[in-house]
Amino acid sequence: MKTPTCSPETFSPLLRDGVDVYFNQGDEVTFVYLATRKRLYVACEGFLQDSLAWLTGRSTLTELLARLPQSENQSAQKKFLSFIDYLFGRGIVVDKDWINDLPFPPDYLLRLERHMNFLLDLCGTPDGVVSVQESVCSCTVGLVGVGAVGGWLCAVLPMMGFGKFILIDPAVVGPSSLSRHAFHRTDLVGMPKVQAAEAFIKAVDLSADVRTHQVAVIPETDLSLILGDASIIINTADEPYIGHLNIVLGRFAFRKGIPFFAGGGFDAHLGCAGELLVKGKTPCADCYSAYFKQAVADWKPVTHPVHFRRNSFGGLPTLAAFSAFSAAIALLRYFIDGSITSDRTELYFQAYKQEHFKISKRENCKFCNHP
Amino acid sequence: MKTPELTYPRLRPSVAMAPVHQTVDGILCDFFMGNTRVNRRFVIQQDLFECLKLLDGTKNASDVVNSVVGGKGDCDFLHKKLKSLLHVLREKNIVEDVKMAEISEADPRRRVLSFLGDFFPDYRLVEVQGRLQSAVVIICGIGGVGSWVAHFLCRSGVGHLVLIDPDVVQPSNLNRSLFPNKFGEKKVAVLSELLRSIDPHVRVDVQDSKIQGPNDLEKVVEVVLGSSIPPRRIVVVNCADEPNVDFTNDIIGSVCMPRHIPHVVAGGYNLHLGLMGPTVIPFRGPCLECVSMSLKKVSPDGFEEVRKLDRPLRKLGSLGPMVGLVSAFAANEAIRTILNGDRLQPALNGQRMEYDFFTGNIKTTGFERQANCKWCGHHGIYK
Repeated sequence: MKTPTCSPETFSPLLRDGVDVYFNQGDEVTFVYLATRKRLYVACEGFLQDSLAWLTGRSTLTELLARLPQSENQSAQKKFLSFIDYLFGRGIVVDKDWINDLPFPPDYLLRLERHMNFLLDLCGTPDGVVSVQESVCSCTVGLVGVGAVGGWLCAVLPMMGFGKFILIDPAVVGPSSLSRHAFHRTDLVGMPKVQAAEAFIKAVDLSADVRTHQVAVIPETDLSLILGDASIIINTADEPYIGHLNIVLGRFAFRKGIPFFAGGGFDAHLGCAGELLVKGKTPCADCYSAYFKQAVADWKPVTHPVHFRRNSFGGLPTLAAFSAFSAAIALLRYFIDGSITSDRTELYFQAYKQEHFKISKRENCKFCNHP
Repeated sequence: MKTPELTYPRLRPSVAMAPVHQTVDGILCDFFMGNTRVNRRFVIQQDLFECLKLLDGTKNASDVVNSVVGGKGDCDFLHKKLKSLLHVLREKNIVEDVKMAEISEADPRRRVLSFLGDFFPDYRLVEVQGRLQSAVVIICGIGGVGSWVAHFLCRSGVGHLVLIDPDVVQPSNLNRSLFPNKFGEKKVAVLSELLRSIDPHVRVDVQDSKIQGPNDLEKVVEVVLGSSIPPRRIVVVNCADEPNVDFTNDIIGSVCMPRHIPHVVAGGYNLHLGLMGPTVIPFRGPCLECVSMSLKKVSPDGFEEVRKLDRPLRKLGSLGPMVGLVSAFAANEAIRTILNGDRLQPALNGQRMEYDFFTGNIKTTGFERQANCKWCGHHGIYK
């Protein structure tokens, strides 16, 4: 990676697009990082303030040094170099070719140019971007359930540069997939969902490594055979019963020491953002299950008079997609700085209000205490 | 419109009925509508409560009453009470007629219909679906946001989409747009083909030139209006941000306001903040000029007196799921606007919403109509 001090002949300083610059009264300049709204106040001489307009990436550092006032050449050059180095270290200045210098294949960079720019705003430095994107690149996503929510994840995860997938779902694309599944097309009706999803992923990333299993996860399933090398497991399946699946998959993930994402988006949780569970950092799936069992302990619906209700629950594709996008964003947040919001959030369609449930680790959780 | 007979009533399968506690007048009962997480409470007399537990759609009201009373009580009185209660519960979208429900359940978009069933009674769902099918949504710009909006609306059952965009598909679009990798082909052609492969019945019209001024959009809108579509069945969604959203909003507002056509600003994302809305129902809330005036009064960053470094041609980042998320709300707003009425309205009429990448939280800011608005104020040019 080029730096101002190591390679002034080739380093072309570019004021990062994600930073606004304000000239205050006196010697002070304020840099506003748009992604985080953080501000950096820097006192600097007038010629250094003026030089900020030069940082367009069109000239190398050596060429810019030649523009400095000749009379005080030596001292001005030192100050300018030091100023650029300081801004580089604060993630305000980058080299104009920073994206092309990232250690990823050219077609990957071409596709993800805007994504890398987004990451730069969040990570601050190209090195930070590399660190996050390498984690994304090397991650094998085990996706259990490729339906309404899982399908939209198959759209956005490749867009973010994820390229290794294990897709698990027993079902085939049906006519009613029309209003729910991202990958549905009329000519795909009858095709296993995992195959349709694989093609959908490869439309974004032809080189994606996708393994498919057209099976249901049931109590007898040997998860190590199908999810053994997953780096993260995402559950968006709700059959036979999502609470049970979350516990089975959550326990498996915790024992393996990998993150587990319990997706939302089903039945009464259409706008649920889901939750990322990580051993040692968050409550486990058992804790979540126990919390909600307790929360509704006093609420006892009568047995519904309609016995077969499976096909009668509703939803808009936008709500399933909201759950999927929330999951993808939560994963990226985790990859960036390890941060996790372990609340469960439900979106109410009526006024787009959110309800947050604060869930804590249960002291007497049998699984947390004896995984 | 005469309400059709409720012949074989059933408790909607997505509604859970839970007794809360006994009161002097009967059982305080929750009806939890699972699709929207809305809870409605009623006090139900014990005998009626027993009737509701039997509403599986195989019995008419008389059979239900007979099953509860077993020939021992006043069947006629209970029957009258039940019919009256069922009428109320049907209007509150808790009970439906099984024959109506079967029509919805046979539809490929049964999930959408069931969802809308939380807002509209069963006997209106065919009409509601018809409103979606006969509506026209004009999408200005089918890049990052617009391609998703078109996708969502097609899947939800909007019958006629007009796509406007001059660009071709490029590899760098694939981090945020829903296009197949047909590089070099016109976006409108690629997307319309994709939408027809999703639903062969959807009508997709395209324009592959740029909207550079009101005249360009007027031509499109006049063609739609010329086919006898009423303005309230048309929605224009702004997904175009070149040269900037203010510029495209100006064009869209100036075309839609005088024609009373609702319009939605899909927004975009200002780095980590996904911006969504507002939705404008002309003269029934603030217009885009009102919002713009309000925003100018606010100075969120405190830099209004300070010189800012001018930096044209900035290439800001984008994130696929953030783009998709913004688009999902824009599509929601288009659907709500098409169905705007006493039971469902756009949520962002006079509101703008922000999604925060770091927290996942949504923040809403409200705006008022401005009396001195040059578009819709007392002396506004479109008044």
